[in-house]
Amino acid sequence: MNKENKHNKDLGFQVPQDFFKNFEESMLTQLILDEKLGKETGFQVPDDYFESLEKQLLPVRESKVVSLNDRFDYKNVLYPILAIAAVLAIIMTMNTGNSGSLDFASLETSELEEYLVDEASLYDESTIEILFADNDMLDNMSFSDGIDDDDLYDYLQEEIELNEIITE
Amino acid sequence: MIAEKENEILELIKASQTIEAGYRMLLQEFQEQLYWQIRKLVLDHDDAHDVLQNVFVKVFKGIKNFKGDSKLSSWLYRIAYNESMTFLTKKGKQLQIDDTQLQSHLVNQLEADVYFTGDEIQLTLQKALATLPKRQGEIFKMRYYDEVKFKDIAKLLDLSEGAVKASYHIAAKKIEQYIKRD
Repeated sequence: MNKENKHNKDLGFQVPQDFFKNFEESMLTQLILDEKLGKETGFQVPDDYFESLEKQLLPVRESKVVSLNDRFDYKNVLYPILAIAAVLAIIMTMNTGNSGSLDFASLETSELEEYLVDEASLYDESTIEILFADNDMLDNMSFSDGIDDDDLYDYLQEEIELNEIITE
Repeated sequence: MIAEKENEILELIKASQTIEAGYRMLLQEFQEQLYWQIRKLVLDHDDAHDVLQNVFVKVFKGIKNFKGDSKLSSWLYRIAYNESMTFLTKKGKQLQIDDTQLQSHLVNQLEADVYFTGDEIQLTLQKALATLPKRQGEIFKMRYYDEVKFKDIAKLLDLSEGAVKASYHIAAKKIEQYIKRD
């Protein structure tokens, strides 16, 4: 281990033996290589490949749209929908007219509390037990058998790495 | 003397037949200085190694367009500083913690680091530094460790010289208090 004091007030930081000598060599090799080879990989694609790829993939989506238009006269579809919508709109306005307007301020605190308690109860243990009482999926599952520690460790390690890649 | 060396390096890099010699001289001249500058910001040796590599990749990419408006050493310092900060931001995001948490995380790591053999007081200094707000910490490190002039720190961080001086003195006071208390 080297202690390098030339540029370093003595703070207790160290570097591995011969770090700077090795760094110089490896960095130089990398830079010269970059300089000579560039970042070209040599891989090529045929001319207009990506354009033709798009063309190959696009008709799948377009043909569906076209066939729908061909088969149906839009009036046949549109008019009944509009009619239903109109009826619904009338019913809804009549209903809201009866109950008055609803906004957050008009809510009673007690109602809010009740709602929140109801929501929270969905997450407590006993509710879940009741909801899943007739579900035997969990019972049939075995957690202890068949997974050895190494596999589990590898799996978790991969998950962590993946997570790191995603959040980078 | 330093300016002469800088010019020599720049001249060597300009011509393709001497470029390798130029690169080598640049590395020899600046790698240690830049390494320590980075290490004091990122604390961990492996992290400092990674950042130093990125710095030199950027330096060699950009040096042909270096106009010489500022000193080569200040230009390098600025790149190393920016690279270190980018690295720390990335690391914080990866660990999903904010700046203050990241700083104390780094110092905690230091206690188990084989490449840190600092004694009690040196570790306390690192702990004190970790408690400073981000900008104050940066300014203090630049001034105290690297002895960068207030004027240059101000330029680098795009602040007024007065603000930099004030921040430095506040930071120094806080560290003094932290060390006394500890």
